[in-house]
Amino acid sequence: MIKCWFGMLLVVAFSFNTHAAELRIAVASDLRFVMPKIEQAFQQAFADTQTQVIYGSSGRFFSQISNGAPFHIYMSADIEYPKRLQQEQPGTGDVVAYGDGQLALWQRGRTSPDMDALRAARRIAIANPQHAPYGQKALLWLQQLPEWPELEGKLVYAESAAQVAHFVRSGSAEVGITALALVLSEELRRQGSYLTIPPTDGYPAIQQGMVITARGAAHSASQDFVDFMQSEQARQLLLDAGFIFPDAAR
Amino acid sequence: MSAADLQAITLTLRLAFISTLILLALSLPLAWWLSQTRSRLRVFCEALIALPLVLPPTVLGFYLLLALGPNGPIGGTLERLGLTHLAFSFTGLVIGSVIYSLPFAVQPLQNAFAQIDRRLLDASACLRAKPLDRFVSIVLPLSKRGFLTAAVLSFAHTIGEFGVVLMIGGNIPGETQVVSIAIYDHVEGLNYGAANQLSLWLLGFSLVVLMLVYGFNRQGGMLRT
Repeated sequence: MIKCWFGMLLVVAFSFNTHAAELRIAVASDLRFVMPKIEQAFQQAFADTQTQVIYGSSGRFFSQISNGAPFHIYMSADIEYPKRLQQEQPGTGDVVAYGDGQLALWQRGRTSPDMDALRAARRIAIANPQHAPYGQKALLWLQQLPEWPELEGKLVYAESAAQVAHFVRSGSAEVGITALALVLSEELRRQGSYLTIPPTDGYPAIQQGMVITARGAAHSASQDFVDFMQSEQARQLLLDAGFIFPDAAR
Repeated sequence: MSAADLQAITLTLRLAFISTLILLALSLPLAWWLSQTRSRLRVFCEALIALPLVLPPTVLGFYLLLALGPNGPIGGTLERLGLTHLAFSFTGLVIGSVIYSLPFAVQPLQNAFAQIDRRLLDASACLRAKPLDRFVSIVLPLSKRGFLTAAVLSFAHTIGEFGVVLMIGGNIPGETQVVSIAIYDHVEGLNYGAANQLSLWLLGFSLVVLMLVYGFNRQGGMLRT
């Protein structure tokens, strides 16, 4: 029995060691479909660097990193979280904006949704504005529409931008407002159609930000990755995935 | 099934085995004391142990995250001693699972102990059996079912654990990514095929385990009568 325990402890100890060299990146869920491409390109550029990407909600990552989570880089869907981390946790690197997300209307079927579809819908799904960046911006966009009073009662709240897609896909809601980067994924393109809502349509930019965590400062590849994210190659991948770079256009 | 999914399965089984062993070792004295004591503390302890039944797992997970992390009372102490804190580690998950499943191990054992006929214990005491002998020869065999129920419930409950792990695990493959988290991750990634496959595996596995246990229990019952 003791032997078995010891063996298990060894396994645990070793699994720590094997992961120690990998660059561990906490990534907001809206990047889920573009990240594998970025990872691949990064590994080609820096041949000996292994990465491990973990997807999740920006807010949850924030509280986890504040409490010592072993992530080297934190890529949030809302730049406010990395900014707060930098203020609260000594040793955190500088916050870098890596692109703006966009909203999209999404519905099932082959026809792109329009404002009529929004008005006709019995249920409109958005992510929870309390903690999901895309939900917050979706609510602001809806609130400035002239139709807002009649739309207000139709809202249902999903836990995340991805769950908005589940709601619509299952038919529980007719229309959803979620991340353009999600509805551009192959999986959702097969299921439904979208309409891009650019930030010029009346909501503040969904500025995304990343930061090297206090723990990541010691990892040799952290800075390489942050630099790579600002490279032309990474920007092109992000553009294709529905992100925009307002600073570059100006 | 992908390598990452298999890794999640082995990790989950390892977590469930270790947690169950610790839970049984911990619950044995605890349940015995609860079943025998007349102390006023009993009510308080029973309520404390039952708390995970009532508290939402995310609340429990959040408190554990604060406690086990580098700024918390437990994690902080470890850091000051030159060790690493326990959040986002396999050890942290084991601690979380043990607390989360504690009522599922203690309550069946406590019930089993409470149902043992006092007269048997008194009779054996009259025959000069020592306390430990009485416990091993009378109490343990008579509460066999309680043990089995406790073990299975703790094991199953740990396999199905989600909210606590979501908070204190950090979804790290090979270290803290258990099956339930991997399924959630597949669903969030709109990868319904992989989510389905893993869920079906979990469903089949749970059904087989429970059937084995109920079958075994029934057999034991027939042998006894």
